[in-house]
Amino acid sequence: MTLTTLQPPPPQSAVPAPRTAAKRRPALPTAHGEPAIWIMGASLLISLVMIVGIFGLIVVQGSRTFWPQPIERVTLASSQVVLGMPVEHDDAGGRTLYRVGNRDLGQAPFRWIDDKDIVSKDAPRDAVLLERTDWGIWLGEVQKVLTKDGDQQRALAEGESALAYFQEVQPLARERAERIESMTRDDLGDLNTAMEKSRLAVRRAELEARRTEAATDRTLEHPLAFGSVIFAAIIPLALAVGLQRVRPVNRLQRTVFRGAKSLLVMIAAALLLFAWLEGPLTAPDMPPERLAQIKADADANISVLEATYADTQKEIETLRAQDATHRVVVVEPTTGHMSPLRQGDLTNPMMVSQTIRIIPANALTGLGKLRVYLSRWWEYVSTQPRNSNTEGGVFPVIFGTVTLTMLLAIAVVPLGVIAALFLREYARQGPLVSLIRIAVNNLAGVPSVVYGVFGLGFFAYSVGAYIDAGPASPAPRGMWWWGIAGCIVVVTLAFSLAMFARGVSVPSRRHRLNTVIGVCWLAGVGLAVWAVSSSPYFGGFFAEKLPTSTFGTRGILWASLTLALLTLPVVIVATEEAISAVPRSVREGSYGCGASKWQTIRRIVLPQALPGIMTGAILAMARGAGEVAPLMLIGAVKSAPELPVDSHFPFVHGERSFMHLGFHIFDLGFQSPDSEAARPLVWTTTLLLVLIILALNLAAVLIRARLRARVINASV
Amino acid sequence: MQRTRSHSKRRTTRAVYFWDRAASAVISVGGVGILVAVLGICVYLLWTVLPLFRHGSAAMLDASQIGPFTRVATVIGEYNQAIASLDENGTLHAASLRGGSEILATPLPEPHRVTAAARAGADGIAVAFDDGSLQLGRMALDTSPLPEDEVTPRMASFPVGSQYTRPARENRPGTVIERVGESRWRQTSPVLTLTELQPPEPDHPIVRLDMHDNGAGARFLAFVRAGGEAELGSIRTVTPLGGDEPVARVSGIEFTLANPARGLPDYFFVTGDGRHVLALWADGTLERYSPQSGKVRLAETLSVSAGAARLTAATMLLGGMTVLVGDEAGDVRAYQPARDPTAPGFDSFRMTQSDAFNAAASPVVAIASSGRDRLIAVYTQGGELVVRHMTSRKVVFQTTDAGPGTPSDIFFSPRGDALLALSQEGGYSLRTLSPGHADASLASLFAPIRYEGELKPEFIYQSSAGSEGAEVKLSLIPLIYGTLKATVVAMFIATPLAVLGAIYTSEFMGLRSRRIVKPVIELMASLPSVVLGFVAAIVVAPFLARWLPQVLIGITLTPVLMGLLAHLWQLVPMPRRAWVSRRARVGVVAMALLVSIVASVAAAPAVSAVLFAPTQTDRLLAAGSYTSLPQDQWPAWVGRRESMSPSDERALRREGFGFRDGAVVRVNQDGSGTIVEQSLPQAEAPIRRWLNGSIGGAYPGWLLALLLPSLLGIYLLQHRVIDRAVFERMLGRDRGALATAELLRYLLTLVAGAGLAAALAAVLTSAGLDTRDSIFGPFSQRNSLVVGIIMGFAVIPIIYTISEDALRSVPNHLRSASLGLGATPWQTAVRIVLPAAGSGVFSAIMIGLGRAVGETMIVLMATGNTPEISSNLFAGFRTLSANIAVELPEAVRDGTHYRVLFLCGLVLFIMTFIVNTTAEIVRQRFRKRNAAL
Repeated sequence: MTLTTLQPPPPQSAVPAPRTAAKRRPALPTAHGEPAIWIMGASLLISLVMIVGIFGLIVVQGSRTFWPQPIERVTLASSQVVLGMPVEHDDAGGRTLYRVGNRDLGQAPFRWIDDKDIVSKDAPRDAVLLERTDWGIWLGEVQKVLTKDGDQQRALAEGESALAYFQEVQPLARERAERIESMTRDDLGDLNTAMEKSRLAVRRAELEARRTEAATDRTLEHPLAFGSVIFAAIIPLALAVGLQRVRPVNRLQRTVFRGAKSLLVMIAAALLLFAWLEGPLTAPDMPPERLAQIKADADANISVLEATYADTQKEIETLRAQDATHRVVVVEPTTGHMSPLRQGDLTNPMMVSQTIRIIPANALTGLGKLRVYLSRWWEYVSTQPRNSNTEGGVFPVIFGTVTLTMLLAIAVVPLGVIAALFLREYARQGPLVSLIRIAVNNLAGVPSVVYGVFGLGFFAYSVGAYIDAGPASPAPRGMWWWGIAGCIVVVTLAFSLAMFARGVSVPSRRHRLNTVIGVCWLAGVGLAVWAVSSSPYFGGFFAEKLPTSTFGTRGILWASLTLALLTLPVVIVATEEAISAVPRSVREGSYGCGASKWQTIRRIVLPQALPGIMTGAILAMARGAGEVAPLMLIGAVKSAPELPVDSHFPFVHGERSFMHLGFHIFDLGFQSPDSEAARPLVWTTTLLLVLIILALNLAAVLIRARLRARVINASV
Repeated sequence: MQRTRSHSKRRTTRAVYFWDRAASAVISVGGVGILVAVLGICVYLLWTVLPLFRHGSAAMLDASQIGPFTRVATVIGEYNQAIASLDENGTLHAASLRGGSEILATPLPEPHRVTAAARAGADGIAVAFDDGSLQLGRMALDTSPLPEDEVTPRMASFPVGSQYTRPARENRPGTVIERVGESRWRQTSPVLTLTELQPPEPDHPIVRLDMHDNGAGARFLAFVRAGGEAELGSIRTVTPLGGDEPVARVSGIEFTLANPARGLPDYFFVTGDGRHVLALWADGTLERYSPQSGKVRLAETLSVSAGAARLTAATMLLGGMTVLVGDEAGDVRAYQPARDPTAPGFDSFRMTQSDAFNAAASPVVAIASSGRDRLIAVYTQGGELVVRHMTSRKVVFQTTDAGPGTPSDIFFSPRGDALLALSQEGGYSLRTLSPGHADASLASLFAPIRYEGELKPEFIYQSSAGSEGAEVKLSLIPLIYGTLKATVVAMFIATPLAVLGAIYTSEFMGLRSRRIVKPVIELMASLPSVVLGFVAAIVVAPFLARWLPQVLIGITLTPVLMGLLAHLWQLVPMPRRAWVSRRARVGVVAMALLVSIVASVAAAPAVSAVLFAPTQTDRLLAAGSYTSLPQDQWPAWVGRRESMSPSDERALRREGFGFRDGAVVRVNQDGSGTIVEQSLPQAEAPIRRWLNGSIGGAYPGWLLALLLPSLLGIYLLQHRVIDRAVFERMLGRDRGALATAELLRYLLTLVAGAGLAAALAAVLTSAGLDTRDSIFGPFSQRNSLVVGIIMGFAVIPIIYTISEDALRSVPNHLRSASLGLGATPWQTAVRIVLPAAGSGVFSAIMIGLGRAVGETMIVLMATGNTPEISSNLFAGFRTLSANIAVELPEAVRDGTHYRVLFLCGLVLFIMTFIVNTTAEIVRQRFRKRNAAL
């Protein structure tokens, strides 16, 4: 029953019901609280208007960026002629802001023109807007297209036909330029990478040689010592196998046997580890002749690569020379200068291939404008940024965002599900678990920037540095082996006690035992972490690249793990809810059929909870995709040279930095040298980000709705 | 039965057992691990922050004997490998600091005794001789790689890190040779070159001398001769065109000590900026001399001793702006000149004590200041050695047994990484010193600190110092203040809107509208904060700057007008009103809102023009109707100010004065003396000029700030009283009359509230208080109000959703019971539902608060990020989170700055942890109670 039906129905009858004044006194107006209700309603309305307003603003501003604007030719009182696109009109000041472009002439990209200075205004049909590879837009009129070979130049088209001819040849020139670009970037880049790889191989070998020189204290160098340790490892193994055959007569014996077995197996494993690390098998063996061989191989490889490099470069040069012959003269009326080849070189007309798009804005029909609009959108989502991000596309940015979100989901879902399963299915419900639950809810409220600080300090600077260069202060070998031994003892103890505790029937004793077991496990894990983090046998995977850090700095892997941690509470809460929504009767049915706990979870609970888990995952992705503050600390950059995922092994490069839509908005809107001109693009980026996040949220809502429907069906 | 059992009961396969156990192990270990890892964030932050609060450490490196001789100037080698000292007889001694073997002992060419010497910068030295001459030069231990051909086979047999002294021969000086690598040797030899600066004056030898290098090519020099004549000079080293030898150019001002009866000063200093000369006597008298218009005059005399204890040591701190004195009682005190316009002397400075501490119970023998940071080392008679940081007041290292023999002197190494203690017998002990994070301590992070040049202890955050001598100021208080300020403003905006909106949605809205409204508001929660920050900076900030009066007055007037319209609506007869269905009521409210907003915005320019009009004094001052005053007629509190803060200027104008061209003027109240009939500049809105403090009095500010609170107060106050006195008697009268009475009551409330506000404003104004010292002030475009509005809207969805859920979860039978007993929906909502859901609503507000505390991007983009403590609503600020985002990418790993930023993170973590835990506990209690209902 809802509130709606509970309120007094409005009097509908035209004929008032008979009533006695004495019994039904009208309530005081204060009792209805009309003014207060109005204020409440107004609060709600203000919130709604603001929200709708912000969304509307983003949609309007974001979607109008690419619509071609008319180009106006303004004649000023000083008989100067200005070509520009009106951006906004300041009514109070009586002036108009024009976007004039042509930045390489040294003029500001925007210009205020007082209305009283304007003598006449018109929209010339032959004015074109050029989007260029460098220096932003150019506004002018196409005068001629020519070929230029050295000092010789010959006009191909002039006057009226120039624009049409220009539009015809431009795609071809552009295609060639793109080929040059891709050759420079991909082919030469691949060659460079290969050469670098050879050099690194040499450096690695040198490091290894130095280590071989230093490591003279190997204990099991002698074959006899090595053999005896191997033999010593076989004995406990054999004993363990022997114990397996013995039937325990009572519970105590069984516990003791099992503990002894695990201890023996672990001792054997430790001995084998010892033999492997200290014996001749993995002894770094880098004799001078092998080092010389590696160096020679690398040199040979590099010289072959260099030859290919030179060939490719020659090919590129030829293409460039071809490209440079095609020129176009586009004159700007204010100064009479043509669009130059490079800044300051006013006598040399630009190459045809330096234009990305030609927009004769005033000559376009509605359909033509729509085509320009759509092609700009396509360019925006599919190409690389140009001009320090103020033009071109945001493909790497979208790619970075999506990759980050995917990695985040891959990391957060298993962790969150395991944690939720533990909390719901395995942990004993009590004050401790409710404390943990408070903590998890609490962590959802920890500021994201704190996670960023943690991610930078822990993942990048601690774990990453370890991966790069091994432990900063490795333990002495003797101490390390003692640590391993301690770990084995503690873990065996925990294991045996767990066996023993299973049979203890007095709950208080069992709880006490469980505490001891917990402490043992904690100590064991602590020792294991210590052993890994201060191993004297590990020298880092990327030591040859130092002092350039590989994983020991900001990168997409650490960023996604940080965000995974940040969004973990979302997944845990959602999964817990989904798991607890699975009816008890279903579980009991499963147990009744003889299924084990894990079977029940895997076959009954998880499938039913899947939509809920997915909702949680998607909500986590939506939250993660919108976070910027932690990314500023741990990986997002202004411009990343390489995508985090590519066709080179190992395909996903967790150590690379990346671009991100949210960071892009911040960077472009506030840190860019020309943020005024970039503002429309920031709105578009904002629109894109908001659309991605809304889509994710919408998906979550839909899945939740489906889940509800299913639960209702299931309960029928 | 038997049959089925024996046949159908199959053994469970081992795989099932195995997987069950494996899963339970993996999930238990993994689950606990994940939870521990998540909780480990706090532990990790703490782990990184803790080293900030650790003491430094020192380890004995070497101790030996370098011969007893007096030292007037001492240099330690850059790698702490050797020492060179000039003694009173003019002999340069140099010795190794590994074993103390002497490299050389050469007398200077002049056969004169040294009367005084001073060192400045890395290697500058000034030496005064008993013939009255003064020489300037360079004294250093120069280090160079040893040429390959000088490496003897014997040296090649030494291990890496060993040291070897090579005594002087005829053709080469003595050197200390160290083997620093497999095939790398380093040699160190002493250098002392002197050139004459002042010719001999045999009767007047210089007895006290001090020199300071300001790091920008200029040196300041001050000295006293035996007769009491003194001089303050500055030396500029000029390299002439054509590549000749650099020439030292000296310009000096001679003066005499003001009180010859005191005798010659025991210590004599020039400050790092050359603006003060300090003469100090052992009885604690300090005379400060200051140059003014070509003369050096006594500016101030004060006593720097405590009780009768005589001073036994004095030195200048790095940067040369703070003088440190140590006395017989083992106390060390620091004094510094601070700018104070009301100081009695002729310049606007005053020597103030900035620090005092007791180093030990025995007399201080020597104080050394580090050339790298603001560390000092105090060495006492009893052999105690204390190393202390002067900004953070942290004792970095302390020992009671600094070395054998009678303590005589203490030095920091040039890199600040070692301490050399010398005894009178010539023994030395060399310690390596690792100061750790000396400039961070609880005091420097959270307590007010009197920084150099400041008159009062203050909270300042400035993480990078401008020059080498300047201090890094690491107080977190401005950042915490900024965080709280942003949060408070945001919550002031968000809480009423969200909670009132939630009550409306939950209690007065139809199911269908609710189904639309709630997701729309929740949509807002998914907007990334970077987007909101962008909107705040690009749209809201310029909007607010353009329409400031409209916004301010609109915020005040709109609720008042809404109330008025609602009361008018009550006049409409009930059947007509009921005819407007419930959904349409939202429309009526929307219309009323629109009308109120339009009306208050339309009224705003006129209201602001009346409220924030310039006063008569302002007009006269702007018209130029004033007479300038000689300085002795200025109000006493002004002092010798060259510039005025806005609040000082306002105070002046209140007294009928003005401030023009660096001087106080009296406004001619009769309007005489008008020079030009100039109007006030029209470029800015009057409210902006009022905020900047250039026009108007305090009254309108108070009126604006007090209007809403006093209206609300009066409204709540009258409610009971008038209900009792009037309305209970009117019961039974028809609705129209009641509604009219209600309207009258509202209008009366308005009048009374406005009257109260006006009266309070008048009282506060006449008390000399001004809102522009507190919540208002100079307007900057990216201000707290912008952040408050947008951050408020960022937290509205959270507060709204959770409170709405809490309100909806109040069981419906409570509502039914209340309505059934005849309560109106309004009474039910306020008296039944809201109290029942109160703790849920509270926890919603707390969760919103937690969110606002940590918000980063909005603050980063929409404020100026200036770490200032100002309650001004229109000023910028910097929050902890924005500070992290701005500075952490540039911080050097594991440095003090890096750890301080981690501390910011930890503080933020703790703040949100407290808020969230409170919310969570309240929420759980709420749930339990609701379950019981």
